[in-house]
Amino acid sequence: MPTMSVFARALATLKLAAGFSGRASQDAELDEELAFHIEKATARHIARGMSPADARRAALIDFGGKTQWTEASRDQQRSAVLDDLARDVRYGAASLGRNPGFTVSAVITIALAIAATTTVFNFASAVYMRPLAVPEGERLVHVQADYPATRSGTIGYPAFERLRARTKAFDAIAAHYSTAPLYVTARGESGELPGAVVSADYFRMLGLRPAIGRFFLASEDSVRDRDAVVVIGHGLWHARFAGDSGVIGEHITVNGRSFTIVGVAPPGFDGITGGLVNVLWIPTMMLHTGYRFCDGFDFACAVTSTMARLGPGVELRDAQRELDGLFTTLVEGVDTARVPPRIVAAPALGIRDIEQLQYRGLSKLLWAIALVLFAVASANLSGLLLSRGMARRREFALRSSLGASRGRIVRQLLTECLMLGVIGGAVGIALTLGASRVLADFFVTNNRRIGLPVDGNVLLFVACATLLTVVMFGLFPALRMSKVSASEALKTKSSREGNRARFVLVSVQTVLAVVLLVAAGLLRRSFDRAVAGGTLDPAHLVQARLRPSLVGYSEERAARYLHDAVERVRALPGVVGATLNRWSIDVRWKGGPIFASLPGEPVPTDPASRVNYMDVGDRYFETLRVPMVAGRDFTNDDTPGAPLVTVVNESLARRLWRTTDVLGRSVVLNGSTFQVVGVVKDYHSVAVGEPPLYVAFVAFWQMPFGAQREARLGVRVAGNPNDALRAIHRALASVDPDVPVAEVATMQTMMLTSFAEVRLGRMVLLVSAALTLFLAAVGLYGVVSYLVLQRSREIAVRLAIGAAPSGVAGMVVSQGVRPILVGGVIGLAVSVSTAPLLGKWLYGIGPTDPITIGASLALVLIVAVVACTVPALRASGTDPATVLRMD
Amino acid sequence: MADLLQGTLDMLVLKSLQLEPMHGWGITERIEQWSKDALRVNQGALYPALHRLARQGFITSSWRMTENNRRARYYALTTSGRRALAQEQEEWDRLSRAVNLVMRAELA
Repeated sequence: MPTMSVFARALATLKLAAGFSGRASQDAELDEELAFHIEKATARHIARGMSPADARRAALIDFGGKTQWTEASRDQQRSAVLDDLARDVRYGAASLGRNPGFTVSAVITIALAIAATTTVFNFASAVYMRPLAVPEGERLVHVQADYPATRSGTIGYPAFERLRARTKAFDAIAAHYSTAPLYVTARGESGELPGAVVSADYFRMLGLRPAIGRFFLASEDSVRDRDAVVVIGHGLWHARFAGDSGVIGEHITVNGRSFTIVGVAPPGFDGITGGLVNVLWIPTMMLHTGYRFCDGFDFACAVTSTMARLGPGVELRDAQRELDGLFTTLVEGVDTARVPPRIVAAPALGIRDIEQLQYRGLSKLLWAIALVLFAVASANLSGLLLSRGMARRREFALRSSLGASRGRIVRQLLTECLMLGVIGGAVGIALTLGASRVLADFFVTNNRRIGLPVDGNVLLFVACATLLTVVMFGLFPALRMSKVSASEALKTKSSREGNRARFVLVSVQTVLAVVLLVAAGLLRRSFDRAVAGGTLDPAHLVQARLRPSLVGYSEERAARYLHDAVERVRALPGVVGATLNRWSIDVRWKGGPIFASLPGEPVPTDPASRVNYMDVGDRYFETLRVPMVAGRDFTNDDTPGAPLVTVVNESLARRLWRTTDVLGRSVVLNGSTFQVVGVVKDYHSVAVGEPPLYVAFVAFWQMPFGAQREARLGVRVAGNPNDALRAIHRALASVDPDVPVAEVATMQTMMLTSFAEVRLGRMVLLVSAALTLFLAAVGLYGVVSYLVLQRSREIAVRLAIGAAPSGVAGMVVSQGVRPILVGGVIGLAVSVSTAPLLGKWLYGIGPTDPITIGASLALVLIVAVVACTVPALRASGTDPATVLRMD
Repeated sequence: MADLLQGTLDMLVLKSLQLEPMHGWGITERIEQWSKDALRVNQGALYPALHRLARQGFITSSWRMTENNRRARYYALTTSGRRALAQEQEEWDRLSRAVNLVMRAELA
């Protein structure tokens, strides 16, 4: 009931304030009443000898003029609204200018709230909602297999061809394989570049025009392996060819084959899989150059994705109906186990589905933090407005006694809030630009990018968020203030209710500050532990990816190359050791899945009982400095002819045998029997709450699970690993300059990338915790100052009768710290119950780490005491005589 | 034509309605007439005062026909309005007596 009436009142006041009073009949009655009055007054003036016109003017003047009239009555004539607005704005500007401290705090608060929510909105919309930045990008759809588990899958080339031949719903349709690493040699420089294999219609479908040259002809995409033509990206054109227009017709080597450049893509275009960059494109008929693991034209090897543009006037559901109708044709001849349940057209929004999943946790965290920040800022804004309103009671009382209606005062206050909102929103947009850039920079690794432009949608969001903030948090104090009657304002009794409200706000802010601080502290310690590397020593490690398979080397030639590469690098001065890993030495790479069982037991088939395997080179654990618990490292003698051997980590040993004393025992990995020759400490990073990683290491050259045609080279150096990168590059080139060497990086850099989410979460949490704490401190300072002001008489009396100034200061501080203590205790409880949500990002540290929690609480308390001390000292320094003489 | 003392307008409005319901113009005329034109009601303040009194429940209003057959809003005292008037009257008497005592004090 009471809430209803509050809402009803708020609604009525809003209507009044907006000038669209629903009580039109009441307005009409008022008009009629006043017209009657003026008529009578005019009649009297005429009776006293005035001309009718003068009489009417005199009657109107009696009324005090139009200005006072609008102010005095509850008139909401539409014509007066603009007049009023202009006056409100003038009055508001003057009033805000008089109180710069308040204005600046309020603007900063609003700007922070806006910037936090907008940046996250921008990120979320880039990940999930933003269409491609091409003409009418919102008409583009992915045509994909709808597998329940992964949500999406490629339909492959044959289905694409069938669909292209039959479709009426789509204007243009293109197959693309957009994650093709292409090893390019151009103008004497070699390197791996992120490329795409695309069908001839790709650029037409996107509605793009080449910067120079042309795109692919249909004839160039009709015969397999015939037309070696390439379109290069605008950025690559400038970086590698200096923007030379003579580049058309030039030959470059792509994965060992010579290609002719036919065109340059327009500036700004870098592919269609938001999140992954492409810098050059080759036709689908050259798929064998871009993809080598299976035949991309085969049904069973569905590497190409399909994108299409809806025809004019065609709705998504029309396209879907067509796809459903063609379904049996599209999947005809496909192995029944591989037939997807359905082929669907899904709007091409945001980044790739698979990466959307990857960012889901991060998005949620960012949203949660943004909402917390928004709540804190809003609480602060409410507190600020409430305090200011208290200070302006006399002003409102005066205006009210001059005849200003309640709606009029509310409207005045809301106008001021809106002005704050407009300025705060503008500052917020500036902050958003900066924050979006910082956030976007986090994703510019490994040719990934999430563009975060501040576009129309983002600005619309800012406008809505600002309006919401201002109305929600300006209206309550405005309604409260407008109720102040003249008599009430004259009695300057202290408003205990107002103080309580402000104390509650400070407590709430403290709760949020504690929660954010604890989370930030946990991620900070987690990140430090994660990059410390646990059991392996990451400080002097470098890794390079060697890819002889990319240039089509045979098994023997690839093996020879890998052998030589390791030996050549080992011989380099300053290199302590070098080894191979088919997967990666990164502490977050899990290796391949495999079934492990004991001899004589049935081989399990349940996917949940799978463990991981890694094929690694000789002296692997020595090179990575992973401690051996027992047994030996791999050696040069672990060759295909020798007995199959394995080194297991402690977790796998315990899982299989419940002990780590397992040297000489046998284990069956995917059907083959291996002898355990060593046991090592676990070295992979596993988040708190996740099961340990069970790893069986096998000898690289025993090739138990297939030929070795690619590997990553792990190198330990004596000095600074960054200095060694060039020497390693040169040594590898001297072995064979044609073999692509990619992803050369120090372990430190790899870890920064691997733990980017933790790093990002830590940064965002830390910044928002600092902001929250700052806002809470400002809020507390304001409350305590106000409290001191209210109690100045009492304090003066105390001092006058001989109270010690330190005692007075202590009294003020203890009163101010109370809401902080309450907030701290609640915050602690909330932290303990919510910290496990961070589980995925916690490495080597529990969610209730006492050091983090203790430090966070201590920090909050210190800030609180400081925030109280300033006004407390001012109180204790009060001159009793001055205060008592006031009023 | 003195300005009205703050807060006295409400009292005068209540008093003017003591005999019979009246419209706003009538109230103006009555106050001027009773005060022998010494008091002029600021008409921009009269209607807000009427709204205020109505909100406080001291008066009610209704539309009626005037003697010249025009529609006008008539205001009438409520019971609590009469009580308020009595109270205001008493307060005013006390205050004016006190002020008079001071102002007419014989200065030796």
